[in-house]
Amino acid sequence: MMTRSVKLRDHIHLHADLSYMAGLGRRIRAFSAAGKTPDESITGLELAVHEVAVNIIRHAYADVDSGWIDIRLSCDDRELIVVLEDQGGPFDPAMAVEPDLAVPREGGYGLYVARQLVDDVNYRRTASNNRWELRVDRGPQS
Amino acid sequence: MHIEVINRSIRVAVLVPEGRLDASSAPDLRGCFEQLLDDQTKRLVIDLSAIEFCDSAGLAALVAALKRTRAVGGDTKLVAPPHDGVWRILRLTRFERVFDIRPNVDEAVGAFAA
Repeated sequence: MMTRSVKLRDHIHLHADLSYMAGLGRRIRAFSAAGKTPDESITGLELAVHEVAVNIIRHAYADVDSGWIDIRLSCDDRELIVVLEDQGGPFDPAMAVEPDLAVPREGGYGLYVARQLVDDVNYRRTASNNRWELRVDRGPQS
Repeated sequence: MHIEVINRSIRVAVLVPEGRLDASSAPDLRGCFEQLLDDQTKRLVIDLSAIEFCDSAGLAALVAALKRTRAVGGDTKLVAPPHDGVWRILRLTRFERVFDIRPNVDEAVGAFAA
């Protein structure tokens, strides 16, 4: 079996509060840049992670005063993966309905935007956690 | 969030938000244009030239401004953002077709007279 060497890792333990989103963006950009990710992918990943994190804060933790988001980043030659885990309420699949872009609305675009900006967004509910995985394919590296 | 409000004429207010227009700061923008609407200002220009980051909540605030002003017979126009990331989310949501987006404040304000 072929093994893949992970070159970069980072771990962010983030208080689930909107005031920390700018700092999260800086960490995502710095990590992505260190992995020599193209600028367009960096801005896309930053926004995608931001949208998922805001979704966690607003919905998964809607009924609690405070919570945490564990964010693990890993990057190798082939892909950049960001995993966000929280202990809030389960994700409602009804929120994953794609918006009708012909009718501008005042909400409901967050996950749609995230899915457009990275190569894959995967959600899984474990015993007590929500686990979101965002993946960016890096392709052949020079 | 710092938002400068410039009264360009009796009927048009120019809002110049700076930095991040996101879930954290969007309520500031909403409060700003709601106050202007309460003061009978129905025509808004929101200048995005100093916005470095915009998320879906920021876009929602822009759409809210558009709907509120149009509901009272006014309108909201945008000044184009210089950052590619801001353009990207406008295109992804097709909001670049919904808004009248002008290259600068003078053209945006002038568009109300057209």
